[in-house]
Amino acid sequence: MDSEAAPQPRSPPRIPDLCGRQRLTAHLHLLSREIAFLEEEIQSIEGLQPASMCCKEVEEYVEMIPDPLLPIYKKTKKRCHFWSWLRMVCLDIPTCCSGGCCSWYKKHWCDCRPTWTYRSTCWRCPCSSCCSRLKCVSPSFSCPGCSCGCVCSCSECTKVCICPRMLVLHQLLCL
Amino acid sequence: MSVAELKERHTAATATVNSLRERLKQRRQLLLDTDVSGYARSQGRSAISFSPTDLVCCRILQGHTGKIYSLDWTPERNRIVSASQDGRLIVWNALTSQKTHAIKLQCPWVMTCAFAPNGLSVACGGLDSVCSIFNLNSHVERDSIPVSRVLTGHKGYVYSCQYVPDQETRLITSSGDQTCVLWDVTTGQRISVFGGEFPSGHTASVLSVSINNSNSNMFVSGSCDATARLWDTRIASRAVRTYHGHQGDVNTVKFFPDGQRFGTGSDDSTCRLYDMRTGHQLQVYSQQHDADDDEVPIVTSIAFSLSGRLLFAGYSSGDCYVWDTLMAEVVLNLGTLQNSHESRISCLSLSSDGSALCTGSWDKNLKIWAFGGHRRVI
Repeated sequence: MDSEAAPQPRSPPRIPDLCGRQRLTAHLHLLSREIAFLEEEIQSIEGLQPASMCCKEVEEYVEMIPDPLLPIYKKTKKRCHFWSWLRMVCLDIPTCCSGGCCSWYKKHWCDCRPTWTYRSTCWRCPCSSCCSRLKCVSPSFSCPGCSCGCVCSCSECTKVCICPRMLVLHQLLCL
Repeated sequence: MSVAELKERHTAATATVNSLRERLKQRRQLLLDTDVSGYARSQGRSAISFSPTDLVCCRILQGHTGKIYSLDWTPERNRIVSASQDGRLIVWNALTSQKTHAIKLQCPWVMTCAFAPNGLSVACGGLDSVCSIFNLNSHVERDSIPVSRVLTGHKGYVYSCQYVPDQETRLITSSGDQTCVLWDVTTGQRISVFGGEFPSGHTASVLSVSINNSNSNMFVSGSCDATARLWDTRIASRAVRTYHGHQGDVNTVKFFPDGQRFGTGSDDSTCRLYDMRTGHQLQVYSQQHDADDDEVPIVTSIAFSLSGRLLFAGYSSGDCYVWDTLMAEVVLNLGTLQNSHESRISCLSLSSDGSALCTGSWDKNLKIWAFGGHRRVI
């Protein structure tokens, strides 16, 4: 027999741990990007306004917008223009003077309808004794200020007759 | 590079990230010179005062036979869609309490529903990992409306969906696969994927989305990774900003009415108000709990009133606190009023004109709350 050593199989090639390497590389890439984002954010903070300015903006916004679910109406300092008031009385068209609070009023007044909790109860209208026209409409969400939906106008009245709650709004606008 | 070298670099990079996060936190802290309630008090403000009958339950919508998980209003015409564990979507006329549609779902495990801006279709999603679209004008087949489109692609549960305001064809979903997706409903295709393999995406399930009404390119998402993230739909590759602070899952997010801030609600029992642009945490809304309380209630859902003065927060306890957002005080608890829910409040939403709040509960009912008191002039 030949004394030559029997051929030895070659060792299998060293296979790198692909999953571990690739996973680590991917994580490293993510971390590098995260570092870049964080450095960017730290730099951007330099010019930022303090929280108090943001709080001021929040407070100003909240005070500006009328809210149907709040139990308060803030009296506006603006006076209703005489011609707008006169138009309201003579033409029986609920109109509104300009202004932030008033424009909200106009939006809701034109569709003035009872709130959720009350059905049309025209007898609640304070001018029911003199007003000849009463309009009670079906309920909707869109008029938060009205209690019964009664909108009446009377040719003999010098002002538009409205329900107790709307009277508050009327006073707001036309004092 | 060898694996050992990679590991070394990985350790160093992790330490750098942690150090930068700490530095960022400290820099931010320096800018938090006050919070909203501190500022409001300095201006002489006082809390809103509600009498017990100011906010009343004026409608109870009954008909679901399982826990309610989600609800949404139409932008107009006062209709509500609700989704329940009974495997149905119901569309209600909220004014008359009547049901206009009852849609039986293929998969009863629905988690979210939404009305299209035009009110003609509804979307829902859940544990089937898809978002299904139903056209309400479709011909009824076998007592139900057939699905008109299925949006497939998420690799996890669909937890939240919302149509892009004024765009019936675009919808955003959030999922257990850690991503949010912007869809074209007409084609069923994904337009953009937010998060996932890209860094700065969420690192856990995304439970909630809220699209900015003032700028519909921007939306925020809330996640089980305890963060909220701001996204620009035109840039899917990274989140615009990440908002830290919560100590638990962020279950719900909602933009503040001015479109510059947003609120969050979390498993840590707090709600928070963040400034979108600066990233500042402007306020924490938190109730004291007894030390021996076994279960601290989690915040399941939030909504702001039209002005943002009120923050409605639904809790797992069945409470629905009405927070004065300026003073950070609870001014009312709908959970203690007459006709309150008997179980967890799972969802709530304000009508488009801000005059009514709808709450949905595990007690199988929806309730509508509106102002029923007298207003004071100040």
